[in-house]
Amino acid sequence: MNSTARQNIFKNVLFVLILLSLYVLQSVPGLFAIYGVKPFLTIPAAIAIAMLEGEFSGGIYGAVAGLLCDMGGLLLFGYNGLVTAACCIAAGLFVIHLIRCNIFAFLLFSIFTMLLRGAAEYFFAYGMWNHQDVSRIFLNVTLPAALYSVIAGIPLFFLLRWMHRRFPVPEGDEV
Amino acid sequence: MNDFVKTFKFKVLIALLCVMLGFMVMSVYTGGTSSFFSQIVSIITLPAQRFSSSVSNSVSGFFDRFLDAGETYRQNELMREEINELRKRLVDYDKVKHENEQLRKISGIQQILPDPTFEPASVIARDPSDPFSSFTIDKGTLNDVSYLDPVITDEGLVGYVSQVGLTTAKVVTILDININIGAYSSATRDVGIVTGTVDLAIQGLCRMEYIPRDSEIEKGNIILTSGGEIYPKDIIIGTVEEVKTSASGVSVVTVIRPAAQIQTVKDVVVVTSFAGQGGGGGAS
Repeated sequence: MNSTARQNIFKNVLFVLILLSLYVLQSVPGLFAIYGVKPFLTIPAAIAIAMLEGEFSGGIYGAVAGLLCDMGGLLLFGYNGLVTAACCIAAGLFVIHLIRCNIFAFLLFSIFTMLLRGAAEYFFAYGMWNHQDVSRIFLNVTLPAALYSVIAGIPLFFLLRWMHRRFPVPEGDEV
Repeated sequence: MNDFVKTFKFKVLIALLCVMLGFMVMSVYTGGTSSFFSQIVSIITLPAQRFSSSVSNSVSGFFDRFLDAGETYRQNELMREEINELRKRLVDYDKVKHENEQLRKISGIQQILPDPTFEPASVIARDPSDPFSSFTIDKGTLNDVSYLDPVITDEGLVGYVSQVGLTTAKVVTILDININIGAYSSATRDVGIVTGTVDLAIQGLCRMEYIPRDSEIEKGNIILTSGGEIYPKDIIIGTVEEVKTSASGVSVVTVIRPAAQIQTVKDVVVVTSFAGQGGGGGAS
């Protein structure tokens, strides 16, 4: 095993540990809560990984990040995994073929992913069941959580970009 | 782009998305049981979650002491008044209790129902996207926790176990719009259904519906569970905050402040078996 392969394994182990740590942090009761709104940390991190490492790694880490969110939620297990993996694959492909990998692109992909998963979750869990005043959930919970997650993801993007530069992608997998 | 569609990686990614879809279909059929992946990751992350939630609780508890000093003082004054009132009632209670024991001896009634069993648990995670304060506890099937077991605190009812894994379980609270609990007022004996609404859940409140229109229920009345297959009888749900007529005008609706601190609760107790649970003799 050459040093590049070793570095790649080490980097991926770090990514997994970061995702697990972020899952623990995002699920700790009360931690990072502002007026009862808490951020999703694993999803923006997966988006950043997808943009930096490409669509293949991004898809896998997106699925893992989404499944971690599914573990804490009450919706169907696999829902967040599916949406996040699809968005991460798209983000990876966009960065390869269409736009540059920078903080603005990260914000764009993150807000799109968070709004997509939030809106679909709102629709399937509450919107379609005709409960009273249910739109307040979207305004008071879904939207603030999406915005908070994107803002909380900014330092994660810079941390993961530093790691990506420290441990470059092996040849053949480059973005 | 066309080249990418033909690659092996593309096929792997499509398979990955199919697996996610498979998880969703599987969770429809497994219902109250956590998926295999979820159980494995729960076991890995449980120690870290326990540690981080205990650190978080200690730090927030330390600062809350200073931040909530005014509120604590106000509550202290209210508690003093309540204690004085309860002391007066205690005299009547002792008298009634004594009479009750005497009557039981006379009529030969025996306690034949089995004692409930409890499993204490800690809240280790809260879902960031759930407006009804659902949470995850650090006990699962290994600790005899089962699907639909009621969850309480020393203050009152919290909710029920909606999904259970080996070492963790998810709890739906009484603020949830999909919950329905048979309940009655201790003062008037009027029965109704306790459920959640979106606007009340945001304020940490719930409501009791379908109370008879001629009911004399009023603010301050204590609401208890009426018992059944999911909840034991006489668990405190909360106190009536407001009484109003329903939109249709045929019944009364009350706003209830839960006795348990649903949105901030850190430690709970799971009632793993009680008389009448699941329609059986108590064991779950």
